[in-house]
Amino acid sequence: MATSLAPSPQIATHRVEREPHGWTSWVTTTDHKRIGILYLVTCFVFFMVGGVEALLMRSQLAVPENTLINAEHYNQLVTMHGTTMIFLFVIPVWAGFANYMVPLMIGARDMAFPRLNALSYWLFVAGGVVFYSSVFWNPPDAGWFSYTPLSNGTYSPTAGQDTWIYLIHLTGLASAIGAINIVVTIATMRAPGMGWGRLPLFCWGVLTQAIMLIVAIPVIAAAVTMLLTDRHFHSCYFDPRCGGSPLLWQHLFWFFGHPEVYIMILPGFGVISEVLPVFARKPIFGYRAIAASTVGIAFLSVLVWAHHMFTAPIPLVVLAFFMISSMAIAVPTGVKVINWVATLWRGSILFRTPLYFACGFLVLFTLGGLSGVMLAIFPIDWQLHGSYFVVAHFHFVLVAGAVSAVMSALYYWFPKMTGRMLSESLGKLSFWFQFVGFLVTFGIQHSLGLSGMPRRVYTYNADTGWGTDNLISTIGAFILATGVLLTVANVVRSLKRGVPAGPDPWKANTLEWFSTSPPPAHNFDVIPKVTSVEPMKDLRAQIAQRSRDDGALRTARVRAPVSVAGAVQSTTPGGGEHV
Amino acid sequence: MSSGAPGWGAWSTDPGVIVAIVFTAAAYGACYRRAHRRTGRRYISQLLTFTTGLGLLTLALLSPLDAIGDRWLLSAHMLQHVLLADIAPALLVLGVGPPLLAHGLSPELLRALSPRARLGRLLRSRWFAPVALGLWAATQWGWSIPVVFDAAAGNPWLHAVEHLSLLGSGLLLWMVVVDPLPGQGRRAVWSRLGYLGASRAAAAVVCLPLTWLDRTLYSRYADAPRGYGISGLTDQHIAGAGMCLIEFLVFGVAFISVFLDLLGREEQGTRLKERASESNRDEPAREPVNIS
Repeated sequence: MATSLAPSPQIATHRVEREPHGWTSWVTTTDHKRIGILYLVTCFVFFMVGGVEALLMRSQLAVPENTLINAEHYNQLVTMHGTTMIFLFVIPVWAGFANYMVPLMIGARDMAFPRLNALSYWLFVAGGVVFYSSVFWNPPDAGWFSYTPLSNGTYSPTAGQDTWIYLIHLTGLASAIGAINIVVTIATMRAPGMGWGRLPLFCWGVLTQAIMLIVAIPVIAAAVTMLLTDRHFHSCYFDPRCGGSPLLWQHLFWFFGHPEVYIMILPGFGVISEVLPVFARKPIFGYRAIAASTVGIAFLSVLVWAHHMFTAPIPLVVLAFFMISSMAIAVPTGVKVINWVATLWRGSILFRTPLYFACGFLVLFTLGGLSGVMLAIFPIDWQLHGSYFVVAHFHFVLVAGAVSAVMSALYYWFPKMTGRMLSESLGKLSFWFQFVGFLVTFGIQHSLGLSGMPRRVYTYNADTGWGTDNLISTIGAFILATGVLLTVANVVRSLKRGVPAGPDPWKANTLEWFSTSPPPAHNFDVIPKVTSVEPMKDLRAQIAQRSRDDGALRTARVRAPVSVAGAVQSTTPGGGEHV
Repeated sequence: MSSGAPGWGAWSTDPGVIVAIVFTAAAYGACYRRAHRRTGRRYISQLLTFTTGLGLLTLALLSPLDAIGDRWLLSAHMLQHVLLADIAPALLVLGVGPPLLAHGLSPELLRALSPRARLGRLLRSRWFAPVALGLWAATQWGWSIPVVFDAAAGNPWLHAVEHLSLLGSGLLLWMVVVDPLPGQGRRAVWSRLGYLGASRAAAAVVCLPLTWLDRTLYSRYADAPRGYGISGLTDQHIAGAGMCLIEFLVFGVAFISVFLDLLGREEQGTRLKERASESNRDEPAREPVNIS
């Protein structure tokens, strides 16, 4: 008698571990999704703290000769705000999204090194705790880039500056470890059929960011270690009295600092590249051009550091070199913007909150890019260096760029993470508050800068004529803060009362939507075979085709993950990888 | 510009250089015609690339750049070196990239370049790439040592050797990067890009000090009459920054081209594999295995 081979169990288990629960399950977790959520929650806490610091500064500057905050505290606020937003919010928030989404988007069951992943998160928390512990004693006050000699033992003798150094060490180590984990995960754990040409663009952004982190972090780690030994062991790296050079600090810091700008923005570019095609109901325009421009930006970003030092004693020819290389970055960035606009062009646009934030990003980031090109011209930079024009420029790039992308990502992926939709009306209200608040706060700062107001001043005289512009900017900051609070309220409300999302509420393109919302611990019952850059679209088409074949046209829409998985198993023979 | 400094009309008519360029153009023309006859295709982009390479070579060796670089400006001399060692060889080798050589070379030359022939074996040997990179780095570094550089600029014969070695090592390096030889067994894309990246690092050893140092290194140019109103130090800064900019841009363009090419090829390869597995699946299913 002919019989077919029946599958036999490969693994026998004698004892089943009890599922951990409660807070210890969060503290000890190595699940990429939980670590991602831990990152995101921690980052948003720091974001709120950094935001309060910004509001305090804006309140102080709202009227001339204000006495709300004294000069010392203002300097500390400037340092805490900048450091918090850069090292404790924007960089790690992408680690949070990457942790949660990358394994799901590439069809993996976890990160390559789950324990290392947990270590990375806890090092980041340790950095934040060490840094904020200085609030109880003497917070650092040498600015977020801690230029020497201001940050050396003579001018910053307190331990606050040391906590800044330890923050850089700890969060740098966390970022480097996380980056290695991301690179290995994407390189080795992609779903069957997902070649490099089918990698989601968010993953391209995160991968490029990770490689840049691996290149840039050692430089800043070395620089802060040199500063630490200068401060405590009388070495002379940055002290000109014994042969050191303060300019060396600037070179080292900005060799890290400018790639850092792209480290903060490249995953945001990836988010925009994911959100636009979903809500335009069109494939992304120029997938390869967008991926190539991502790596092009990464390459150029290590050749432009000295444009932060145009007023330092550097030969004119070298300034010209850095001017040209800085302006060259506008080329790949322009390629991206054009491709994004082309993606929206003639799309069947679905106006949802993630798209609002993505479009806000497009407008504001482009404006920030334009003022960046202006500042890349060194004679213009000589006039505007250290003024509020520069503050306005980098807030257009970072707040409008990174934060808009973060908001877009939050509204886009919140249903996947929690299984519940965020309120659309609250989301759109939050967007308009943030968009208008942002333009009012930072748009007017261009004018302040052109009027000559220097940055990092805790007050100004009434006869400077800067009072009205500063008041407008402060009002804008509170409008912006209201917008952020609306999103926080939306998140809190939706966690309990949000509409159930289902596995694929947006009819999106990438694999994370193939799993349930929220996904199970193992992510997928079946890992589907990827056949294009939009695997979910292919799967829906297969299911629709199968439904038509069965004469059941009314079930052409994707219903539930189990049925999708079942359909995939039967429609892609040999294609799926089963648990 | 002071009197005595070469102007736009100071073109050289060095017969050796002119003969070499004409001979190279004729050889390429013959190769191109043969390829066109055999395949019926026109290799326009390769023709343009090669012609541009030859044009830049002419510019480097016969234009006023040569005369200005000999005595007056270090930056002109450095630009000449970048053209000779990098840009012109890159374009020349890209101009003979696949499939032009396979169709355009005579059978005798193809046999000589085949993996079984001695020359073919040598060019495909695993030592060829590191040796080519080493030679390129050695010529860059060696000719940049101030004493050697100044001596070469002052002696026509040594100058010719310098230029020949720069061009030769450039051609070898770009042979590794472009890998234009016909036949199977081409080097992996990432390995070729790695060699190009390593060559940029080697060039950075020369261009970065020239860019950042605040004292002049080459006495010949520091003491030269200031014919163009540029100080010796500024001239040195222009030389370094210009070299860095060109070298890095070359790498950037190559990197992006290779990246785009890689994405396209990978997608093509995956699709081919998928089609092959689909056609296998369409074949009638085999009988179940009898285990009784």
